[in-house]
Amino acid sequence: MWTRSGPLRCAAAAATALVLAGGGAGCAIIPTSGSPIPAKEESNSDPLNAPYVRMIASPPKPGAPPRDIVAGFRAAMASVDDPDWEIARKYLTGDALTEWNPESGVTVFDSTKPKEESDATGATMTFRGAVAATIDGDGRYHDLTLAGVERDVAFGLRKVDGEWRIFSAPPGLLLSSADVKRAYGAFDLYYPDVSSRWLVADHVAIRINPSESQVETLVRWLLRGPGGSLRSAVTNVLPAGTRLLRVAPDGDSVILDFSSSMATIGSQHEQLRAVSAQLAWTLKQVIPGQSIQIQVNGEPFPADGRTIKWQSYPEFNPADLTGDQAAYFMRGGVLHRVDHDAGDPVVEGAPGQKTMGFTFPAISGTERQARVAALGEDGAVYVSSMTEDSRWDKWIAGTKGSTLTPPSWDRYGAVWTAENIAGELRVWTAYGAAAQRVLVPADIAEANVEALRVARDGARVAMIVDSGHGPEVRTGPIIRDEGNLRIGELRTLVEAKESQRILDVAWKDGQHVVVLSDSLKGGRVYTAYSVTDGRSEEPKSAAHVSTISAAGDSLLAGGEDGGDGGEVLSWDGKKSEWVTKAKDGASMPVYPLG
Amino acid sequence: MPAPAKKRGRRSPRQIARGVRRWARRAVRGARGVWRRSLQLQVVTSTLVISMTVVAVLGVFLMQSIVKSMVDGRRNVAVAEAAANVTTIAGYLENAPLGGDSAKPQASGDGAATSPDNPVDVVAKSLADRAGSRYSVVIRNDGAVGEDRATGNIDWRSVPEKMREKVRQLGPLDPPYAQIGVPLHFLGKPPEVGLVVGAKVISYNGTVYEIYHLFPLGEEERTLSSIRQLLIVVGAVLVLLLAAIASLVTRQVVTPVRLARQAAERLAAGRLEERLKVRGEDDLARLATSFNEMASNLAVKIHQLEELSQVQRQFVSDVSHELRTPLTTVRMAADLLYESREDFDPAAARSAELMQNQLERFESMLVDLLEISRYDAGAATLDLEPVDMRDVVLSAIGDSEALAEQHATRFELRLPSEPCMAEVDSRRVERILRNLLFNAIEHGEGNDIVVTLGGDRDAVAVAVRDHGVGLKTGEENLVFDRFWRADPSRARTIGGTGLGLAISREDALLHGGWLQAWGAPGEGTQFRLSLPRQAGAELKGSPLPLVPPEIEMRRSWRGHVPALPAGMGDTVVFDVD
Repeated sequence: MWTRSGPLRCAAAAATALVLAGGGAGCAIIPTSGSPIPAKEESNSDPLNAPYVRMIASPPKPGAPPRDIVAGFRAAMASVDDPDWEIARKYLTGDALTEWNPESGVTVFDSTKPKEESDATGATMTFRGAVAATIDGDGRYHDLTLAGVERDVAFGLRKVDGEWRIFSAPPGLLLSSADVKRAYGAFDLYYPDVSSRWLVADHVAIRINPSESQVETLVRWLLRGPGGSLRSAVTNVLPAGTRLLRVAPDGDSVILDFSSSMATIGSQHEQLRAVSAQLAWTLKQVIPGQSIQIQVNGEPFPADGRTIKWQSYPEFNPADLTGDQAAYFMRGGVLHRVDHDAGDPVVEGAPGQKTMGFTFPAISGTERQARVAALGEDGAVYVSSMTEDSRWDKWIAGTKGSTLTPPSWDRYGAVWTAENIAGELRVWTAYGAAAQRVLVPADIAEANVEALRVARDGARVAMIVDSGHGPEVRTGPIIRDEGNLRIGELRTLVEAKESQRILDVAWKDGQHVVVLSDSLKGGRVYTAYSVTDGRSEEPKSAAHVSTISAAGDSLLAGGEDGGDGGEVLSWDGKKSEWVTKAKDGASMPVYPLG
Repeated sequence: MPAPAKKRGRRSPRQIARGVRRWARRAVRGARGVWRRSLQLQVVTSTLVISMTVVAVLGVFLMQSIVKSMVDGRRNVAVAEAAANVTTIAGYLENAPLGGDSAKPQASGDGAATSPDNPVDVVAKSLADRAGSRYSVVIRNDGAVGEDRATGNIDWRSVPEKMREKVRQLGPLDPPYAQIGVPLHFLGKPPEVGLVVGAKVISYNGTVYEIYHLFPLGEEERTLSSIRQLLIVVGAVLVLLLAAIASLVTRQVVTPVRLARQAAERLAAGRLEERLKVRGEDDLARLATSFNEMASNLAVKIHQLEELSQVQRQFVSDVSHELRTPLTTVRMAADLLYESREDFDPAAARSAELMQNQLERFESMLVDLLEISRYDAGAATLDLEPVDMRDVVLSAIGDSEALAEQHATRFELRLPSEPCMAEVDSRRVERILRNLLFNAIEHGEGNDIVVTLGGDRDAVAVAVRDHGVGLKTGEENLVFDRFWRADPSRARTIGGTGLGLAISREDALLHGGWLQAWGAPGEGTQFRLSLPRQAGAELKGSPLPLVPPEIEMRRSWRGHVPALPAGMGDTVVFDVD
């Protein structure tokens, strides 16, 4: 009977419906019929940041004693909240206020309790400690722990309006190791090599900027281009003048919005691919599970809006050795493959046949048919491949009377070696029978070279040289200016010390080397170094070891067992001891490249 | 031409305001009119208002309970998480580190911030790892320098100062404080509303750490905002739906009512055959049935009355006719007697005279009766011709001269000099005027009688004014009634049958004109006949005033003092149209 008293009925019906709905709330809203499903924990991590801790900088408290003022100033220097150092400057007065320049570099300085001296005019706080490292403007961390530089750092204070203030402070930022650990992130920035075929890592310490995400920070650093140590050794594929406009998470991916100059690489497929790989591999450190979308001024780029994942660029993998590597060793002048189950068979082709007494083999790659370079009995470098009917070809002959260092392959398929001729150091590289001379920096032009190894990414070289003070390990970039090869500025990784012998050096990957050394104090040890920041690991005992080869964390060594010739040892990291892999005259174990 | 534009610009706001005000007033008036007329609109509006109120109240309650449960749940989870974190931290901080070296008091500000294993850093790092992006942690230590930490990009100033004061006063076993609705600021990110949980931990060496967990509630706020939007949309749809239903339902009720109203209007206009359609058996159907019954009963009654009236009129007409034949015989006999009265003795002669007089009266009364019954039967017709109204007036005056002389009454004629043409039945108009003149002579008490003729473009009018006793209040209406006399005790002296004015009015109406009377006690009377110049044209006004000009003037002289004794200067106008 809707026709009569319509609105009333209507209201009554609405009320009934509401009451029913309200009553219905008592029934189960959450479905009671459920089946067990895998309960994946919801990720609580910030899509653009790894978690980090910041020091809170606070301005000086009224009436604080000198030591609190200095501690507060050091805390303000360690704080990343304050990009313009306004709070830190509140601790300063006089000359320090005008001359203190936080941009002039970072000194990492670990000290004990300060010594406090005060007189009528003011107070001086003196810290005594070791300079652990420096960080330059390129973010290059330079470890100085081994150098063991002891220094006094003094802060002069005086009273201004009844409050203590610092009037003389050491230049730049003075941070402790803990501060650096907290306020800096260690990241690998990847740049394509000169051929844009794979990526070369540049290890940098980047100050956390809380006002932007770490993704943003890393991309900005990439846009700045490679630092001094790698400049010209790698290419910068990001178009000049490109700016990052915006970073935003979008579900499982992260959007990078660039300014319009990015669009210039749209038509260059190779470059685009290199840029994508560079971004993907660099950002993998912060957002491992997420893909990347590139946008230009908010428009998807390239236009199909596809996402970038590091898994899509396996050939760019900066770690060129992955997984368990095939290893090789020499026994009786013949190359064997390490394969315990098969009884360490000889390789195919000429290297597996007894021809000449080859020593110091080097393998060009991970594939089965890779090429082998070795030193012949005549001191020249011969190359053969591990295929049937192969033969040894002489690639680098060297000058008569000189000695060539053991050969080393780079990733481009060239063999490298160094040569000592009276008073002159020459470096050779060869893609075939015709060797090419490589320019070396002047400071080692007359040094004595004992070993030369090209890094697995082909961007750096490590050498054992002796300029007269004793052997030292020096590393530097290989600069490839359109075919003209040159070794860039070398940095000393292991300094010469008295009565220290450096026996061998081997690359673990693109950035780390293992150095085998012998000193009176410590005996024969091997030490892993990071080429980029100079940090070293605890030296480990390596008695009886004479040659060494590394691939990632695997380590092989050729040693003398005292009996019939040598043996091949492998380092067991868990037990921290050497394990014998092959005996009976086995020697000179080698992993591909490095 | 900037000046006119400027002028217009200066004037226009006021004009616009006035225009808007006028428009608004008109709109309000229109809306009020529509509102008053439309039952449907009233029902729909009240449904809208009521349902809106109900939906708003329900929505607010619903929203409040959703917000409460959501915020409560979130707070409980947050507080539980913060408490668990604080317990873990306390376990770490309350025990002295095993290394003897770092067991030294660390809060002294010397190397505390730079010591490699500063416990605050360890604690903050573990909290940061646990928190991820879900919340941020701020650790404050007022006792030492460089011991304050924050995780992620939270701005540590987000912790309210009030909260800090409360937390500083916390006892060792007190539960932590929680505060909701705190704006959380971030470096490089817009602020969000959040929840802060503050606790205090005292380390083994007496250092006091305030630990604040800051949970952003942006996600919850977004969820609640979308729920609120949904509620608003659903509420609006519900209200509109209810209004539409109400409109539909009301229309079902209102349409039959409207039909009934229209039928009633037609019935009132005299269309007695009007009936409503009866559909179904509901209340409206019963209303229609009752209406129809009423209409048919009414029609029957009216028909009966009409028949009765017809019979009576026929009877009067028949009686008048039937009386004429014997009257003729009686009249002939009476004439005979009258002519030979001189042969009779004086008493008989007097009787013969009386009989003659009364027979004449009887005859004229019969004529009048016949005339009026003709009107009643609707049989009266007009014999129209264009005449000069002055001739008609003069002719009527001529007929009345004899009587006027008898009463020593003189006529004062006010006639226009131009001919005053009108399309009338001159016989009937003459009769009207005669009646008026006889009436005036009879009640004029010998005073002069003023006869005025006036005309304008559309109408002509004749006013007959006497200066006799006048009319009492309300008598202007009664004078036109049949057989009405002002003073029942007064005898009729001249031919007054009591029907003259009634017939005159019928004549005037037949012409489409007016016959109106004005009178005041002691002031005399004025009758005014107004006729259209063209037969059948509608009369819109009269060329002559109903109230004599001298009376009107006197009234305006007295000014606006209406407080005259009742029935004195009080003039009543009765319009017959």
